Amino acid sequence: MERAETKAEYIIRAKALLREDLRAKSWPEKVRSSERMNEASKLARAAMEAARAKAAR
Amino acid sequence: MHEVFRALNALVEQGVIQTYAIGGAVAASFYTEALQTEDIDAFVYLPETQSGLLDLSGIYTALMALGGKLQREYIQFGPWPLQILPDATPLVSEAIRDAEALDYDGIVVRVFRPEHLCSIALQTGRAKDLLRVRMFLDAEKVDLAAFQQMVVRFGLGDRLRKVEGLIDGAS
Repeated sequence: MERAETKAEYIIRAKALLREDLRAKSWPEKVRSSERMNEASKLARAAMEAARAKAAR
Repeated sequence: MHEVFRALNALVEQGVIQTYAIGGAVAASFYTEALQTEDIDAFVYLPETQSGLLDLSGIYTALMALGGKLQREYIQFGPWPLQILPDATPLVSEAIRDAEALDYDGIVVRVFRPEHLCSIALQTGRAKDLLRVRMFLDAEKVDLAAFQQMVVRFGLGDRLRKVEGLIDGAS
């Protein structure tokens, strides 16, 4: 009988499947993805700065 | 990303999950310049079933009801793939527990603390993970005392020395 997959094994398999799908994206899609991440990161850092400023008050 | 964070909060409100925390490159982007990533990693406590199998079906069903589209082992929300990842190690469990709640453009989101992000990166140990740790240390984004304690508790001293060697060896 096949043994159950461990949590760590699941993570490795799930990440590999996602990477496979992402690699298959076209170059323009990858560029758009990178731009999206840049925009999201600006909001993320603003969230962190606001939290730090609030904590310092 | 807003839609993903709203969906994760809805899972907690609906009692589908106890809590969650964002890890990986998206979590790192809260502390440092944007890193290239194309997916959102949400870590959750996932009890094993009696058979020992992992069961994410309840989470996936709830996420689909919230507008997500199930792909192979992730859920797509608009352009963002969301991966639900289990608490595979005691370090990850602690990171979920101690995550910081932040206001992302009006939406509360729980994010791994930098010390946990760095410790998990050490534990994962790929070259890009070790470089990420170096970046956090160089940018002074880490509470060094807390990080050192974590490194000792989780037996990551050898990996940290490798990170230190990334600079020492190059100079």
